[in-house]
Amino acid sequence: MSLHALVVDDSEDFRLLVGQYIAVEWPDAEVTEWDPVTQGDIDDNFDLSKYDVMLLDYIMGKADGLEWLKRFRRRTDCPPVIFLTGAGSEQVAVLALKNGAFDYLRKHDLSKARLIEALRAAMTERKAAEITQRMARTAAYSDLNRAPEVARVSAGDSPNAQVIEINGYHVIRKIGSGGMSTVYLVKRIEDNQEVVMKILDSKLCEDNEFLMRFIQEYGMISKIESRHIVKIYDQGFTDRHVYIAMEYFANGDLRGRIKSGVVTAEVAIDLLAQVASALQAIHEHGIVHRDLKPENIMFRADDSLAIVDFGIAKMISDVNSLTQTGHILGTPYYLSPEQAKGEALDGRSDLYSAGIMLFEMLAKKRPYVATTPIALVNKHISDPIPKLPAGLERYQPLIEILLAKNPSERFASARQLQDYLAKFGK
Amino acid sequence: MADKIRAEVSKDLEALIPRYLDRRHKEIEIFRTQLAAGDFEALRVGGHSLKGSGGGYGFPDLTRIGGTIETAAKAGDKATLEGALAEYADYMQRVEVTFI
Repeated sequence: MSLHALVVDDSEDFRLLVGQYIAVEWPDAEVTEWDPVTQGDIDDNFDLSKYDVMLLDYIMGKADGLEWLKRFRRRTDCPPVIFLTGAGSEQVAVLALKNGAFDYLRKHDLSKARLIEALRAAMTERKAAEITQRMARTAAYSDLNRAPEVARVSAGDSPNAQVIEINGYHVIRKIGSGGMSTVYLVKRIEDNQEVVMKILDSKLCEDNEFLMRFIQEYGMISKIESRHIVKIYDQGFTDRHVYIAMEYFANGDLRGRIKSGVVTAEVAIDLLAQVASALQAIHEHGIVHRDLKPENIMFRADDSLAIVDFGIAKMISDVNSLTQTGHILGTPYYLSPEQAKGEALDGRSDLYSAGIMLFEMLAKKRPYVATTPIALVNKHISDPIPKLPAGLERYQPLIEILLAKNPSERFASARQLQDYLAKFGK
Repeated sequence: MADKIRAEVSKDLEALIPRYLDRRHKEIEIFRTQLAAGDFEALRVGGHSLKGSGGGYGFPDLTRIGGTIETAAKAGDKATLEGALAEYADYMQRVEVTFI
């Protein structure tokens, strides 16, 4: 995503600081500076709609940033506002949030990571709000506006199920549905390419949080170039739905292969190496997947694998912010101990999940099972690392490293895991 | 010779630092002039700005000094302001930047 930011602050040094961090992260970004002391008030004729985010200082000479915030938030064209506070101004931050600020930043200990995290979240919120507004403005679609080739999809099995029309695609069949979306196999009309289309459930389209997560999935994966990450072809919306079009995998998922018994120990190591390559690519972009499991490992016609489903993936900086920790997400069988405890995460959490998958591929059973999610979570935290069955002892050291309770005792990175595996068979 | 004060600054800000430090050196003289003239409002504004920028650039001591200047200027406390400006000047003589 590109960025157009408005920085309202009477300190030229601070405006330059913010502009520099933004330029490093987004070389194509535009930053507009506004100094209230020399340039005066931002009046109602000033077009705020072209900005993705506003950073607004509290005390700006004689101007009161809180009053400006209240006035801006009454405008329909106001972007998300990140309020800038000084040391000892926590009460001001609370007031700002109550008066519509999207987030706040403490100027005196501002870090690039915190700034970028706040900006990314604001940009995602902006995009979600735009889509919601556009969908709300559009009434039922008109026949006059319908494109000649439109995919008509029934969103459910009942006769009264809602029909979804996506321009440029022809529906083949429904594949399945998850927590917030339904997945279809469709054909792209322009080139007859089979594509998976993930459509956000319509009742969730009005919920900005789900919309943000849905958009986030596209935003994160579209940045990564790796043959072991699912390709995203398109993201868009109709008058009622939001969708992502992504790569179709003809050869099923790892779950199916484990069940069918075709995964030998040698194949397991090779698959783990491909997973490590994918993890290296996403971790280098500062992303933690958080939901690695056999169902999210898919195979192409040439048998190469790719990781899919970034629905709960997070930027590492997001995962570590205080507003994000404390919530456990993901499938309990593959949760790392730190995920189970709701602690801050980094890429080593994905390595743990990969280790659980390796154990399952080798032993043909999961290392930790329990009758309740809570009991399972506690096993990840406290139970000893299980031993592999007889005959697989040579893989036990690898399992011990990947499933270490303490992240510092695992491989430091997916690259290290790759290096280990490269030497493994020799 | 007094010990150096090490400031760790993000490498992303390397291009901004020469100008930032130059402005700080000049600002000390501006503050001294304002103090001599009894312009506490100008000192308050300047102190507030220094408080806001220092830590973000990697100079948390400047945030502290700026806060002292701002608070003392609000109270018209000349003695504290003189002490703060002396500390400001000393800091700028001794600070040594390491980019990380």
